Amino acid sequence: MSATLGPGDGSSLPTRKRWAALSAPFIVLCLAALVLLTVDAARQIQGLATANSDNGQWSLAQMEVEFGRLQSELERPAAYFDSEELRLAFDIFFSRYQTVSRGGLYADIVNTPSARGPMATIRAFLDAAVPYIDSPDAELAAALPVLRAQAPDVRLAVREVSLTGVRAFSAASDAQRRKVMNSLVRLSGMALILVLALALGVVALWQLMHVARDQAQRRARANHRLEAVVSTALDGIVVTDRKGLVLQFNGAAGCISGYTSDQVLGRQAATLLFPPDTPEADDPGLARHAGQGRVRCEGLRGDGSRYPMELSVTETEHEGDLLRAVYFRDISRDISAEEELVEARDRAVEGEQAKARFIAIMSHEMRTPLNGMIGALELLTETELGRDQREYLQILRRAGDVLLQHVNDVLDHSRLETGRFSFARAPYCPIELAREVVDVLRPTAAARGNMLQVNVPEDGCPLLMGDRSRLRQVLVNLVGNAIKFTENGEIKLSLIGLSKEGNVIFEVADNGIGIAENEQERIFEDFVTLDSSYMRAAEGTGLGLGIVRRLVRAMGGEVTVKSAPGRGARFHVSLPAERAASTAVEPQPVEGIPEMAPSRILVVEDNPVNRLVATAMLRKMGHTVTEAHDGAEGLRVAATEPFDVVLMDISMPGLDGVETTRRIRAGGGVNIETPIVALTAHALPADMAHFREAGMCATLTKPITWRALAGVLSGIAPVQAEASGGGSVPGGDVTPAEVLDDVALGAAADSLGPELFASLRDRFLSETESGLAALSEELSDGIEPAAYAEKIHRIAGSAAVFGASALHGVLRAEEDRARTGAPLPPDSLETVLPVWQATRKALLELELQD
Amino acid sequence: MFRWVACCVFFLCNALPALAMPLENPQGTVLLTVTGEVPVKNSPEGAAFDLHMLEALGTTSFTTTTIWTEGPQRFTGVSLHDLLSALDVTGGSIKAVAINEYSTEIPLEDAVPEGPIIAWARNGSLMSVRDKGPLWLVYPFDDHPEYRSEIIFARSIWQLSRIVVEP
Repeated sequence: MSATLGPGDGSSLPTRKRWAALSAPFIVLCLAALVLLTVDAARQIQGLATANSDNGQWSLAQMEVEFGRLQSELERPAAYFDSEELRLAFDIFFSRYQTVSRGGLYADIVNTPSARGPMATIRAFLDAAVPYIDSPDAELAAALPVLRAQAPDVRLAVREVSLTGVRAFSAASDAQRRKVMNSLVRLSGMALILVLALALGVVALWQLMHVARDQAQRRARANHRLEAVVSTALDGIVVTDRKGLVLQFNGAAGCISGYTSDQVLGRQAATLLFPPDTPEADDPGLARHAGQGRVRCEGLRGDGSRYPMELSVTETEHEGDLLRAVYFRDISRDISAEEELVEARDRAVEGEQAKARFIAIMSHEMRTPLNGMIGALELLTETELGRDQREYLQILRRAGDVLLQHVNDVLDHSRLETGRFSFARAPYCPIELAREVVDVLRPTAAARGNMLQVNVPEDGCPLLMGDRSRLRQVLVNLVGNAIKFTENGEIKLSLIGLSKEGNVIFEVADNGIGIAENEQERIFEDFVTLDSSYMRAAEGTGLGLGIVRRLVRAMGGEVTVKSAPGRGARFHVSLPAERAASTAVEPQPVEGIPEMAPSRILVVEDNPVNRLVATAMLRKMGHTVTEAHDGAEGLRVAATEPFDVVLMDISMPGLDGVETTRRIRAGGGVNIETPIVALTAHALPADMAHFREAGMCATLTKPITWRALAGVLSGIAPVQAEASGGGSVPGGDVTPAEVLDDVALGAAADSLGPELFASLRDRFLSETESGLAALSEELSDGIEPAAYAEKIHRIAGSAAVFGASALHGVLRAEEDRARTGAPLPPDSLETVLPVWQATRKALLELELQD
Repeated sequence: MFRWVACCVFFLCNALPALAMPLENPQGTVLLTVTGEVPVKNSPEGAAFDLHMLEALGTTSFTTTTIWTEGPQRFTGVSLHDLLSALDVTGGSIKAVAINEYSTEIPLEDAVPEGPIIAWARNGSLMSVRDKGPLWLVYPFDDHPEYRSEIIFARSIWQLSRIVVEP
């Protein structure tokens, strides 16, 4: 790994550069100064050495000497007079004088005021002497006294010039010395400065050296670490330059790609690492993925094989150099693991879904035969039974009901689980709902000795939009749960009203065994039953509260509980409430109900489905209902128990409605004055007069609707005989939309609640199927028209309840035909069966849509 | 035998004409005397030269300024190199002495062609004693600036009368 990266480089480098930038001119300046000063000093010294001067002082002194020689020649006694010596001495002195007076060297001296006079004196002497000197010896000898006389003055003059010269030369040499000295001082000063600068430079260099050494060491350490990291990295690491040429290639990169470092260094990384047909291979600089984080692509090995690669590219800009580090790994294993995981998850999800589907289907499939069983038990109760048998039957029925409830719970749960749950959005009255729930469950509560109460706000509650039946299910579950865990206690369902946040709030409180705090969250979990000891009191799947919470949450609300062991429990349901627009609300029959005091009502009806429907509607209205399975039982009950109203079915086996009414009126029992309302699916005006004559005050035409029932009961609406439908027979290509009357169906579903409705519908489907099959057989056996009409009538009644208007219509037509007593053709049911099939299909589809 | 020696001498004389040329005797006023270790002599003391003899050694001229004169001066004379060659002086040192007994040492290395001359004429005129004559040892100061030193100035002896060649 080459030393390309290291800490601290970036910070110290500019400092060093600045240092160099500052010191370089300084040193150049110093050197220049030193050179200049050296040149100057050298010139000065040169001046001393090669001075443009002779030894001036010596010349001047020599002038004195040479004049002395001339004078001594002049002074020589006559006997020793030597003219040639005199002339030579004179010439030498003359020559010297000329040298001094003319030479530029002595100008400074001879031009000074003190020298000018003596020089003139000497000149005058020489000028005067030359003629004599150049004269023959005799004349020269004669002139000697004259020359001799002048000599002392000239000597003084020469002396004066010489002294002046001495002064001048010493001054000049002083000045020269000073100049040289100054030069030398400047030179030394400069040299000193330079030496200091150099010393500083040395110190600085020394420090820089240390810094550099430290940096180098740090860098070496960092590189060492980096190298260790890179070489031991599990990921392949390739470092490239700007052009994508490989600068480094670590061991892992070699292992993954199958190249050796020598093979790849300096070559294009992109073409080495990626297959030629991939976009990465066309990106020599590897810039495509730089800074993109982890990227998956296809990699190429040295042997040409390909592998799934995960790579990440980072870019580093260092001193204008762009480096890219490519980290990559072979993710073949990851991918296969991932695929396995996905597959496993898919399998698990699939399994889960299959299980949920299985549960849903199973529940549904269980429910249909269960409804058949319950229906059969219902029918069985109407047969002649001994006391023990009736008791067993009761046990069977209770068990069947519980089983149905459980199956319904599981079905709901699986639907909620799979999200196949949609909520209706229709106006409903929360007060009425609360009352209905309490009414429905009152017998159950009473069976365990519990008081069941309902509290509603005194100032009423507006109509709200929502799914009434689901909310009812929630409340029924909560109240049912309270009943389960309370014995001989008190249970209260309260409609608290609308909260400030706009939520409608219900509360279910009991004073039962309660729930420990640490269990309070668990109870909402699925399949949780808290203590096995409770199991005796509470039989259940453990799904009830789980369904409650799921439903409430699915509706956007929340259910909470406050409880303590032995101190009862208080469940709090809060749901988003939207007020129903008043215009959207159709006048509901239940609206009038609260104005009416709860009444005791006897329902005499042989058809169990019809009886159940009527009972349910009445209970929902707040009435107490007693059921009688036929005219005889009705007569018996009516003889002793006072009722406010009696609903009397007309066509019943044995004692029919008209006869029973007659006997009640004639009997003188407690209900002799009680209004009796006729229930009939089939009321002709003549019949209605017949009913009135028998003592009935009103007639209700089946299917019973809320409006009609409420109107009759409140005495507001006159007795009316709504003849529905007529005997139009739909063709064979009937569609579900035509065979079902949504209003009637909705009314039934609404009044019965989803469970009961579903149960009754399933029962209707199975009973009708078997009933029609039986009739078909009896027809071929040659059945009596009256018996045939009776059976058709029974099926038609059920059909009316479920809004199967088409079926109801064809059955009514068939019944009318049979009642005429005309012989029955064997294919009499041909018109009915297609309609039945269509109806069945529609009802089953309705189930699926649910 | 004598003839053989004579032949040898003759041969030697012909082979080294400049050195072996017997120096004539001065006819005019002796201007320069070379004494001491002089191989070629015309007197017991050494070699004496008059102007004619000096001129016979070959004249050299150059123009230069001096520190003792004003303006450029043309000097004419015999170069020291030619003189010493003629006298076959190859070693030792020489001492130049002036009329006034001023003397100076001149190393033999100064005696180079293009070097100093012993001038007898300045600006075409013979030099009198009053005019630093009759002989003046002058260096070509202008042609060779390195001669402009105090040492050379001191060697530039005027009123030269004698040269002593010392071993």
